[in-house]
Amino acid sequence: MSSSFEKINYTLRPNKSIERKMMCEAFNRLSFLDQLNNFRYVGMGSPYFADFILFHKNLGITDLISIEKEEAKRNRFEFNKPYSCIDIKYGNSSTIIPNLELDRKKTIMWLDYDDKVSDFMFADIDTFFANALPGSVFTLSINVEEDFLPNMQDSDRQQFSLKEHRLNQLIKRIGKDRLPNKFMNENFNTKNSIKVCLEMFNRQINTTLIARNLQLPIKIKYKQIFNFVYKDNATILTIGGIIYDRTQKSKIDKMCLSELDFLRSDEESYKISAPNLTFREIKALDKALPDKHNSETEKGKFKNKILQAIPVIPTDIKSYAKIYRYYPNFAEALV
Amino acid sequence: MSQLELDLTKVKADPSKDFFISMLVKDITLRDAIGDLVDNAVDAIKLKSPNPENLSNSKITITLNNQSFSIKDNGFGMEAEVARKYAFNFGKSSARVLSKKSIGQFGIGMKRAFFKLGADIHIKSIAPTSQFELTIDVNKWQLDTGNEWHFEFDKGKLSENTSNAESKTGLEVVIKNLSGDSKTSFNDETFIDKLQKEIALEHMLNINKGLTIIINGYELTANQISLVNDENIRPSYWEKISSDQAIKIIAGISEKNAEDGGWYIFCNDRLIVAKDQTAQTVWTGTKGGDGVPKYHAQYHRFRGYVFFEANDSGQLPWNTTKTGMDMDSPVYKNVRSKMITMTRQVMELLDKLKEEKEKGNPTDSQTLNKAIEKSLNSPKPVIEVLNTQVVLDNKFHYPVALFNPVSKSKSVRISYQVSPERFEAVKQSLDADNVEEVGLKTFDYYYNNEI
Repeated sequence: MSSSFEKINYTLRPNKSIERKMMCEAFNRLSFLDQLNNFRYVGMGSPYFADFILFHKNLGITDLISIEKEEAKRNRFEFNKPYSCIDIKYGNSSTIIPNLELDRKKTIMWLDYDDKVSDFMFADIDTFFANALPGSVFTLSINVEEDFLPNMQDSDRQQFSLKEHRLNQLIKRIGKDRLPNKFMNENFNTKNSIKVCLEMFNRQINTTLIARNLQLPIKIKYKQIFNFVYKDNATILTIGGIIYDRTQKSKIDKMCLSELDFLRSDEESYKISAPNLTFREIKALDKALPDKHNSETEKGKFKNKILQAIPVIPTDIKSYAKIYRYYPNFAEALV
Repeated sequence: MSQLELDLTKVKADPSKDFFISMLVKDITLRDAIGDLVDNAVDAIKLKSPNPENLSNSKITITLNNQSFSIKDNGFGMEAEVARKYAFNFGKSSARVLSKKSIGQFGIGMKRAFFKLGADIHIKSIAPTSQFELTIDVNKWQLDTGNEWHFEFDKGKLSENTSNAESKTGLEVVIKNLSGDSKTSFNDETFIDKLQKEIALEHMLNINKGLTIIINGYELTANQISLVNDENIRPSYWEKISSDQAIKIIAGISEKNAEDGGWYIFCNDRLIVAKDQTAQTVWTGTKGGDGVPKYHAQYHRFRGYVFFEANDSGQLPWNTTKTGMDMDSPVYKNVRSKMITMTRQVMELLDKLKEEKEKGNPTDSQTLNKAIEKSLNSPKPVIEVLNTQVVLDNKFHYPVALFNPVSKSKSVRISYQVSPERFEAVKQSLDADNVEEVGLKTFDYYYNNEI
């Protein structure tokens, strides 16, 4: 089976690119906690290393670790390593992460799994929250696209309803014991898949921190900062946050994370949806942004006269206004 | 009429002795009752020993048959004052005097063990400054329904403010009029053999320190716990040490013996959990469990050891029968979380060893497996590893560069079906001997002519 990096060119996923830049902007504020080059970045670089390039360039982090499960394609990964300071560790995240000595250095971890929610992810969460230094950031991304009934003969198809099939698939991946009772009767479409994943991840984070805090004189807390949902092809959920103790509380406050309107500390996701626009349209829109009227409309027309004059549907303009600073420019170029 | 019966505001709640005894002995097995008495003997011995790391002059002798049970040690004995005030008191006294780093429990353990074993109990103690003998006739004691619960020293056998030579001190307990359970089991060689094996396991660290334990004439030998620690492999280590307690965890690999794999937990040198391969330690399964996958063949080489030490044995996270851990104890919960992380650390290697052997990878190409097999030939005693000069860290080290898995894309399998007639025709035309040859030759033919 080929990996998702072999099917899609990661650099051409506009929403993912926007998410990455937004996360980078948030990570920049970690400088209130510690010098950014004191952090280590742990990610899953795939051969494109888009996140590694961005964080190395923008944050100046020089201790970067990429976890890669496909040892057999080692040559290709090593060939594509953009910088010498990236160390690729081959193996499963659940056994690689415990050996990273998370208690020695503040870590920014982004586990960008290709997969749908699976039991091993809870092991990774557990290892991080049981061991990482306060001031570290944990983020994970998973595919939350709803399941569909497989194409079967009509006789087989009757066996399970779509709802039952989705529940069975979920239980197959994470086990019945982990599924919260209150979700037992849900139809796991994309919306409910997001809900249940958030709940299960948060429960694991909480359980691990409770066990860890039992013996700590200074307790460690978790503050969720990311809750993104976007769809380039499959729907992706990204959740994440920072762990800190009370000695770091004032520094966390100084980060003023509430200024960044794409951060979410609750179960309501921030939806990233980049409209498809031409270069001419982008140029014209950029000229009118930021909009002092906040892209408000009156009787269906933008208060901002320049925006009003651009022949793009208003919803696309509004979407663009929200993310224009992060909008990627894709062009064919000889590099 | 007593005062209690007159006071109508009070509800009678004092227990009857027979109820009390039957409740006490229900929660403990015969085997664990004997274990409790051994633990008390070890405490008395450690108290006497000037160096708790050297117990070479200490001895515990147990003799059991269908008539009687006896246990004798040459520890510090029990002072009459301790017997009078604490040791025979039911339940823990607030002023209990426990020796440091003890494993026995005055509160319940000793009496519970006596009652479990039999009904005629005779204790003889020679302590540094006193000596006594005490007899308990349980049946007679049960009949005495007075409100005060007490035993009596044997007449003329109590002397205090004496000065007994160290070579004379010790405690001996002889129990006769055995309980039905005891009679049956003590007649059974299998029970005695198992007892010898289990006590040897529980006290392996003490036996290693020189303690002699003899059960029915057989001197127990120490089991060794071991770990590989060489230039290739370094175990992962974690510790938390404070003034009144210390916790050390070490995890790695040792020789492949399916039976011995798993976690071992010691509390004040007493083995509480041995070769654990269950959810009590880390092996919960990952579908809903908070630990690692269920124990199976792949993990046979895993060894993890936890050492709890506390001056006050009340702080140790074991259950009251010392047969397992107190799963609700905050100390154990915290340590267990570390154990889970450290198991995963070692699994990084164990998973790779398995992967390298997959898909018909020739033995010569299994470079990681070869290196590890070599290391496994000379595991070292854990105590030696803990005292090693090499600094251990909370990371499991192995020669990751030697990992040489077979590439999944090395070959592609093609499979298709054709009618037997067409197959036979092609087979004849190719002069092929079998199906595989037909497949390969037809593919080669296309490749050579069209590519």
